[in-house]
Amino acid sequence: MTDGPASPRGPRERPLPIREERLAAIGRRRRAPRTERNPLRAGLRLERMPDPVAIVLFGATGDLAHRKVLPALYQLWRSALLPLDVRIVAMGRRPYDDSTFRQEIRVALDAHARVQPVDEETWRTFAERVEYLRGDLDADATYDELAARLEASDRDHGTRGNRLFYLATPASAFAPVVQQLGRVGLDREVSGGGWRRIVIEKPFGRDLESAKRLNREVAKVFREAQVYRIDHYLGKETVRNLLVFRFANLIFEPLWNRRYVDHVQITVAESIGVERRGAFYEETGATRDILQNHLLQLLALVAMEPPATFDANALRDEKVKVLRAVVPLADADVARDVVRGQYAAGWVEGEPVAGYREEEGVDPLSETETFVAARLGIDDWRWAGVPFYLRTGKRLPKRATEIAIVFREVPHALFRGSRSDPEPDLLALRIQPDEGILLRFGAKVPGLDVDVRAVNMDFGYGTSFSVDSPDAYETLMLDALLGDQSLFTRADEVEEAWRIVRPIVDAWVAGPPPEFPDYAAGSWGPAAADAVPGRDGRRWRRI
Amino acid sequence: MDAASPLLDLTPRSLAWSARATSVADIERALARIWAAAPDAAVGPDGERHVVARTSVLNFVAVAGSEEVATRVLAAVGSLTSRHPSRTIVVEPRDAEGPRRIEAEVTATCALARGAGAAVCTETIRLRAGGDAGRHLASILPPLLVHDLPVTLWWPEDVPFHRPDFVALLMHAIQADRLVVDGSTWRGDGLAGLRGLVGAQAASGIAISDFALMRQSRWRDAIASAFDLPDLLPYLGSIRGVTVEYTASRADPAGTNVVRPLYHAAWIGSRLGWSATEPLRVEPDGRRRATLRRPRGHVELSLVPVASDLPGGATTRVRIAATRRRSRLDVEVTARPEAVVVRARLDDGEPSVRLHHAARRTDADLLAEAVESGGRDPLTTAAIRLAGALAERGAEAGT
Repeated sequence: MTDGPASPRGPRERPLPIREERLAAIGRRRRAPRTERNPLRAGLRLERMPDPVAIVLFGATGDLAHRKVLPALYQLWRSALLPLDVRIVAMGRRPYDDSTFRQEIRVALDAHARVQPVDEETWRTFAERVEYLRGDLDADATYDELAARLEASDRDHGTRGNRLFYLATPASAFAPVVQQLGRVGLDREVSGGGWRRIVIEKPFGRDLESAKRLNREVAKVFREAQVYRIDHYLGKETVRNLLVFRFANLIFEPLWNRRYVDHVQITVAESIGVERRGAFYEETGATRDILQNHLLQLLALVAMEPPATFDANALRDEKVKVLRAVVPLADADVARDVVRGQYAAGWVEGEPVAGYREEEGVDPLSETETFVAARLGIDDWRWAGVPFYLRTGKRLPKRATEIAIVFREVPHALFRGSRSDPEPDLLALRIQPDEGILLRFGAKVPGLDVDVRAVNMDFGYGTSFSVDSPDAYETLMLDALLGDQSLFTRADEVEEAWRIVRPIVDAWVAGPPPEFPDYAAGSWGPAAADAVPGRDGRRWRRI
Repeated sequence: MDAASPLLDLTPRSLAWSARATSVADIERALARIWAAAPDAAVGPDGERHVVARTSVLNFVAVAGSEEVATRVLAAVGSLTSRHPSRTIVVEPRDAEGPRRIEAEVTATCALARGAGAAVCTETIRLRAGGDAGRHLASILPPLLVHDLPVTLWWPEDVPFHRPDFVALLMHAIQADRLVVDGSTWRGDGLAGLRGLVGAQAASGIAISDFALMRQSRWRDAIASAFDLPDLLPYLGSIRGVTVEYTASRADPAGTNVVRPLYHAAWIGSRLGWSATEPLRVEPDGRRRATLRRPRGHVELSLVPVASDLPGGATTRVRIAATRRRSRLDVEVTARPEAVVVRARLDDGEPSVRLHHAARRTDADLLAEAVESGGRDPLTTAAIRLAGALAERGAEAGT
């Protein structure tokens, strides 16, 4: 036996025999005993309690804060899921003091809290943790005072330097607020000095360029691990269950591919109009408001490959991969596979309603779409050739969000003599309302002849678990406080989603004006939308 | 047997039918008659017609020692039925020396959906077994179970683990999937019950839910939180002593149930890989002491009774002492109304203090959690096993 070549690492780093390596490892462990995880946490089914924290709510007097964010915080408090050492610093321009702001949120809770009536004692203890800070979001002085308040909060209320900044403001305020937080050093995490996180509400930009610009602005101040981009659909129980459904069960995953799935339909239908958000909606439209985020997020969750772990980045890596695989739409594709619409006056739930152009804050000649339907393809091994039909709209007949996996027909029709038309098997995941999962398959109708009829197996959350499903904002707020980014959107996800949507918007901008309005409120959108699946010999599911 | 008769609605959102029976066969016939009498579509008090759907996802068996306990059990189970529709059988063994008899009240209840949706219907059998019939539940219950559905057995008071008929019932007759108990209700110091529970768990492999342990979930969270700080985490490997103070009757401190205070220590020990070297012994001052072995050293456990007019056996304080490299950590977790306070102090430094919510949980809350727990919970299994080892009888020689 001869000596091998000299190790390039030098004599001190020569490869060790296994025994020596093992003993050296033991020696290293003895020298530096470290336990990184708290073993007392293992197996605790209880939700982990967030650290003491000061939550800074920008846009606290706005609609989103009143309808969603503050009720979610109240509900977490009511469920004892917020630490007792919590402060909520509400920021707004209105000339309120603590008392008037508390009165206003009490009114909001009476209207929007998930569990009614509001419990007086719970409210009292919650309200005493809420303080109001009046200030202009563009002014340096506002942030200087905020920094001083937060220091006082650490000292007087034990919030330990932990901060959650929640931006419930118009998107135009995101970048200035982030810059100001950086200017006064409120982004900085120092060892033992508490964590700093920022929650940003959609829209994350209004096109690919603005999204990249916003991401750059945020990244100048906060690390990606500190940024929580909230898409509330991801906090919904059924959406979270989609991951469990796909990856905790063996029986569905073998069917979850082009070999067995004929097509997928994802619907986000709203019966409401734009309400008082006409001016906002004019700039947004259904494509930016729903398709770019909610619908594409749902598509990603349905189509992604199993992540290696349930870690936030592993999950988001897989979502990004599938978004990258969505086939880009050329102009001709947009003309053929995407249909937009705008509602005219009509009837919804037995009430006459105005058309979009008659809504407050809406241009009477508006070309903003209130409906969009699209056919997308995913060019990967699993989904090549399987169309994904996506649709969303306002003033549709009912509020319903659903993902439907429609399976292929059996290769050989054995029961041709059946009186009923055979329907393909179907798996429908209802996101809202009435969250649950439905499996449709064929069964024999009792009788002497062989008649096959579609029957449903229906799982409803409400009838299977005694725990009420939390509101999506409660889930996401708690996750942000606990530092779990799994259900938040990463910067590259946002950009990939804009990449998919950009050709659609570009084609509309370049093309002739649409013939709006083109569907009556209370209908399922413009007739042309039927052609999106119709061209492939399919039809929209009746919901 | 009485004919099945429609009752007035129990609430504006439910309908019920009931019948009486005096034998197991009668009970089965009563159920059949009820479902035959219940129309396919019932008209609710709201005037809507509802499809009646008989539903069960669970067999729920409870053994109640008294009328009062049976009523409490029915109230707790009743609050779950719309979400966990079950066949519920509440058995009350009565008058053990009296004549043999079976009296049953069979009820079908339909919770009406809003509008004209399907009504979800469940069945309750309240069964009084008199004389020696009460000691032969293993022969009464199996025919009444809906086959192929999981069986949860709730024994809300003292459990006769030592009786052969209990073992026969649990392991052979109903083949229960889950046993729900409340160790804090067991007689005396509760340690005999604890040994019995460990025996049942080992012999049957059954999943256990003990309300006494489940009620401490917030305490566990609070204790764990003290060691979430990276600076304090290493002290978990150097714990020298755990002291649990609990309320005790002034008249008979030694007779106070100590299952809850013991569970605190057993949970900590089971998470940290401790084993019992000297089981609990009662000292002259009424304290109970035990010694556990940790990976590199020993831990002294003390259960300290504190005379109180409050119900006995409730934990008032948990103290954990750890020393490491000539530095000492003291963690103290103290009960407050609806909360617990965690105070951690390293040497002479400023103590870190944190409040945690600890709202009281009802039987219905705990039952819902038990029903929704799938399979054996490793945390519960390990904590009960260590508690059982600490409760071993040999140690009582020291009393």
